[in-house]
Amino acid sequence: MEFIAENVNKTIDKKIILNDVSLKLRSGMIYGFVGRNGSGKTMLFRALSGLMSIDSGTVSLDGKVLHKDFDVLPEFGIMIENAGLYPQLSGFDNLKRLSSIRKKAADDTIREYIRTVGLDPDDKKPFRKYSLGMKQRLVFAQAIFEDQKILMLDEPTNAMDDSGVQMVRDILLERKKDSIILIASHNHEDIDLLADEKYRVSNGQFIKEE
Amino acid sequence: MKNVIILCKDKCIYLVAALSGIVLMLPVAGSNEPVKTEYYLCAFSFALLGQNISYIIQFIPHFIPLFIIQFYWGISIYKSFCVASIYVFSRRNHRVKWALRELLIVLLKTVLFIAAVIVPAFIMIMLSTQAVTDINTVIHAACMLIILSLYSFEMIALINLLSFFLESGVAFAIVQIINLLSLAMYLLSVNLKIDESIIMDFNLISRLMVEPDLDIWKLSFSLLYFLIPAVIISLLIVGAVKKTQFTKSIYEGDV
Repeated sequence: MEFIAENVNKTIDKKIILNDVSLKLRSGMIYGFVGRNGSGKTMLFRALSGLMSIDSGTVSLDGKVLHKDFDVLPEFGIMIENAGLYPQLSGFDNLKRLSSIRKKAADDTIREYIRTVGLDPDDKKPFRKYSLGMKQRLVFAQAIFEDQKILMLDEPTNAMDDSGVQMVRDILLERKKDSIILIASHNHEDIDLLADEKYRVSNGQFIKEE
Repeated sequence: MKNVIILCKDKCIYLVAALSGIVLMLPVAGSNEPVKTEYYLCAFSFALLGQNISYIIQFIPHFIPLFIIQFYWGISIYKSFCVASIYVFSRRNHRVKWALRELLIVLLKTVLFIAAVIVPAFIMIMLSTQAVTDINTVIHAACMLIILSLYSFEMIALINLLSFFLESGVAFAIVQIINLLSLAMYLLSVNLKIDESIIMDFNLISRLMVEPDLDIWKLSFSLLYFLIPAVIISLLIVGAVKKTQFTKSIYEGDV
């Protein structure tokens, strides 16, 4: 699998969000993006996934071009900081509702993933009553439970306790072999430990660190 | 089956509709006048409303069901679009299909709601008055169902559309101001120095009317009057859903 961004530019309200970004990403790698708040990490994920249009440049997956051959990337999982799930639904019901779109994951799979992230699939508590750490665990589960081959994770270990952080790291290392994984994080430890390639993000520019 | 469950999920609101239909017919219960059933039924479409400010007392109770439906489903599509949006739309390649489905659900719910007002009212008249019911009554009821449903759908769609660009409370207020201005224009038209026929032809309230004496041309015009904007607003909603970019967190949190 080859995922390529070429000369991607995006400006919002006269502010340059992505500045001539070019990336060549392939399976079996974890890519880490480090940068201050507002540097453009999250916007890159939105642009690469198709959730946001780009002003110029191209994004392609195995030769198929985003916004031409498909509106959003097929089979990708995303985690965006502060983006919630259905507040009134339980963890299981949240993933069940999302699974009804792609129809890829059976109930047993959903239960298994909820357990994997350290939550109880039979817990009827609505998402809005979850603690921050629990919310983060469930959002992580939604990003991976359909065996997505491209993962874009924005601050995946935020608000998680040590066991949660370890769980995310273990799962990502396990999924790495047949997936393209992009992680944006303030946590240098996560990036240092997981990423095969690191990028420093500043003012919409992505500079590869050797 | 899943769609039937979605439609029936709001059973409380249909119960409110049925109750309002019955309550609004209570004043005519026990009437021995041998009038046609549609004479009573047409009150729901404001056909018996006079052009004088004093008729506002008569207007308000009959407008309540229409207000309830606008209040209850006013931002349903927008809300559905906002909640968990990143995770829903990162899984969907066809936002247009999603928008059309949401619009269809709102339309069906609206028709069900208006039917839930009219049918109990109709039964109430049949059981408690000497009114005469014939095929004309059924035609009247059907016309009212179509016109009131289209009007309600149009208003709900407009609130939803405006919510994409404004705060949803503001969107709701704008639509109610349109309703109020139309009512004011209608009730005060005698005092206004405007050709009355223009108000009668193009006023929102007067176009809702299904009069006891059916006028096919008037009804056809009313149908187009509500249908064309409803289609245009629906297309604009589809466009808004397709074009919205997930660039900020306003679309991502709980609504």
